[in-house]
Amino acid sequence: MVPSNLERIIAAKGELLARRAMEYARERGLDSHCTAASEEVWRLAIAGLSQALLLDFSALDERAGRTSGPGRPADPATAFGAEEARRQRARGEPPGSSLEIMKCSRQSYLDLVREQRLPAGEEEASLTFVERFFDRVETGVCVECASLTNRASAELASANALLEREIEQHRKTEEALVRSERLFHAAIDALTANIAILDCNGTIMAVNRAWRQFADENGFRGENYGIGSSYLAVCDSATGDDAEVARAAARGIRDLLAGRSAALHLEYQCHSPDEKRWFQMRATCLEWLEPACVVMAHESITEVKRAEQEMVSFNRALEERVRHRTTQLELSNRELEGFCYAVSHDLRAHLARLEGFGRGLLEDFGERFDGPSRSYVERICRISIDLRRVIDALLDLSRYTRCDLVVRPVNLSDIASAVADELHAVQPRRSVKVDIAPDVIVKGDPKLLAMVVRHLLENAWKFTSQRTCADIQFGVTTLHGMRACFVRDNGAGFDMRYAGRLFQPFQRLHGPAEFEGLGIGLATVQRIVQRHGGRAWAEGEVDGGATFYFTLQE
Amino acid sequence: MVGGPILLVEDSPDDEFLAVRALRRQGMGQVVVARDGEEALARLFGTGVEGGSALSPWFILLDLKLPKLNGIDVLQALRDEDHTRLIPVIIMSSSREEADVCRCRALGVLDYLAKPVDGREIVEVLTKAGLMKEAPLTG
Repeated sequence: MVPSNLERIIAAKGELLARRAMEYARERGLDSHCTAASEEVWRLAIAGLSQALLLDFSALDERAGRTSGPGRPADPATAFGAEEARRQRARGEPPGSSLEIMKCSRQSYLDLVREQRLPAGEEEASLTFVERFFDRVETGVCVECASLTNRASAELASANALLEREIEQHRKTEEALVRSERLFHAAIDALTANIAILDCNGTIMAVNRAWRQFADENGFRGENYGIGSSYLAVCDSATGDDAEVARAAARGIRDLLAGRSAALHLEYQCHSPDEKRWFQMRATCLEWLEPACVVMAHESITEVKRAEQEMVSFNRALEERVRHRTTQLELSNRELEGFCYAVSHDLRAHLARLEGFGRGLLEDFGERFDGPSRSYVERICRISIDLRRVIDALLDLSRYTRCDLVVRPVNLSDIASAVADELHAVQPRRSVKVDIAPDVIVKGDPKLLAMVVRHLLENAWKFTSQRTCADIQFGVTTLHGMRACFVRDNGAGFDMRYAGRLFQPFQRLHGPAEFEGLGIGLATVQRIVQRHGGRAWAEGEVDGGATFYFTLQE
Repeated sequence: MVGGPILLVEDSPDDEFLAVRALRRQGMGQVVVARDGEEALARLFGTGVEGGSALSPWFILLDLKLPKLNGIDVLQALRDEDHTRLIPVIIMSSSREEADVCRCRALGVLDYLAKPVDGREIVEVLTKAGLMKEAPLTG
């Protein structure tokens, strides 16, 4: 049974209760709770306690049969405890402080009850009631604190996990960054070219090992291998032999950065005192980077240049050797020709004598021979004449090869007409239709080309001798883009299998019984045409006529 | 001058024989032979070892390939002297080299005959040049 006047005492002594509680707190060493600033807190706590205590009085009877769920204060004491714990926490005080305050407040209330000098039974009951009330308040505080702590722990754990994850992520990012940077440096260091990376203002941001090594070897006097200084400024201020190249480099880099060009390529000389050196500079703008930068590589092309120069001098030497050999060959060819000519000439003189004496023998002593012996002498004479003709033809052939060319425009049609007239005059009984294309004009030696036309027409004339109606054509056509003159006939023709032999000296495709001839005419044609830088060839078929073509250098 | 001695300049005895025979067959028997260019000029200018007077031939049959002075040199020397300048010359040579032919024609020869020389050819040339009235008998 709670004394009914307890309610009155508590309501009246709020200030005293708060002050005492504060004093107890001070005695317990809880100085931080006893400052002037926290007096209000104590007062509010005591006010709240008193209100809850009074509510508890009225709820005392109802509470007997009721149960409360865990963490859900079912009575004003527990509810207040929980509330107080939450407030403490909201104020940022440690969880235990609410419990301390409640302990000091409990002391304050118990002392107040004792000071009322209540009758023994009533005091006992009041003290018990207060004790129980505070037990429940503290339970509320503790339960709430535990709950809060759990929740905070969970939140903290989750926050920690998040933080750890973030830290891990950060660490990984940082590692990747370090790895990437290492890779970048390793990559540019692995390249043999001297590489520098410029920012959008032309300032050197990074260089590779080759660049540093080159700087070391060539007495670079700047700081930190130029990193941080403007490459453009260095180029702009260059003097001496390198100035022009340096300006070109600066201009090229500016063009790259301004998007006026896609790539820069320069070759330049940079000779050291004891070595000739060539370099090439290549630069590309990484315009997709923000801000853009330029990757620049200087690479030695000395070996390539040296090889090129060696090649040039080798070729020159080779050409010189070829020229020398050609001269030697030409000389020995001329000597050979000269020798052949001399031999042929001598042979010819002897043959002329043989022919002369043979003729003399027949003319002066012919009547003394009988039939067979006369035939022998006649044969000897004929053979010597044939032989002399062969030698004459060879000498002619040699002459066409050796003589100087007089090149001027030649009307082959006129020559062909003249030859045709001659042939008609010599054999007026033959029926030969000679068709000559008008004004076939070429450039060459008039005498030699006349010889070509004469040989070809005589050839055609000869090989159509067995035709009752012979047809001979002289004209010009275009074959494989070349202007080719031709002489065509409907004569005996030839087997194409032997076409290659036609133009060789003394190669005949017909026996002398069929057609006369030494087999030197076409060889002469070939020689003359070749001397004019042209080519002669023939097409034909047995009994189907033949066409002889020749080209001349235009 | 029509008729008279003929100067044959020829180093080869065989060719000399054939030329003399060819001339004789055309009735031209008076032949003086010189074996080389120097001898030919000596005869023409009268400066020979024999010390005789200068030969004034009807015409000269001149080979080109000769010892010492060659045919062209002889021809040139003849043309350079007033009293020999107009002597008719017929070249007979084994060489049909165009350069030689042109050079000789430029120095005013009657003709250029290839060996072996036929007497009839010589007559033809002389007749054409008005140095013979008519062709003599041939055989």
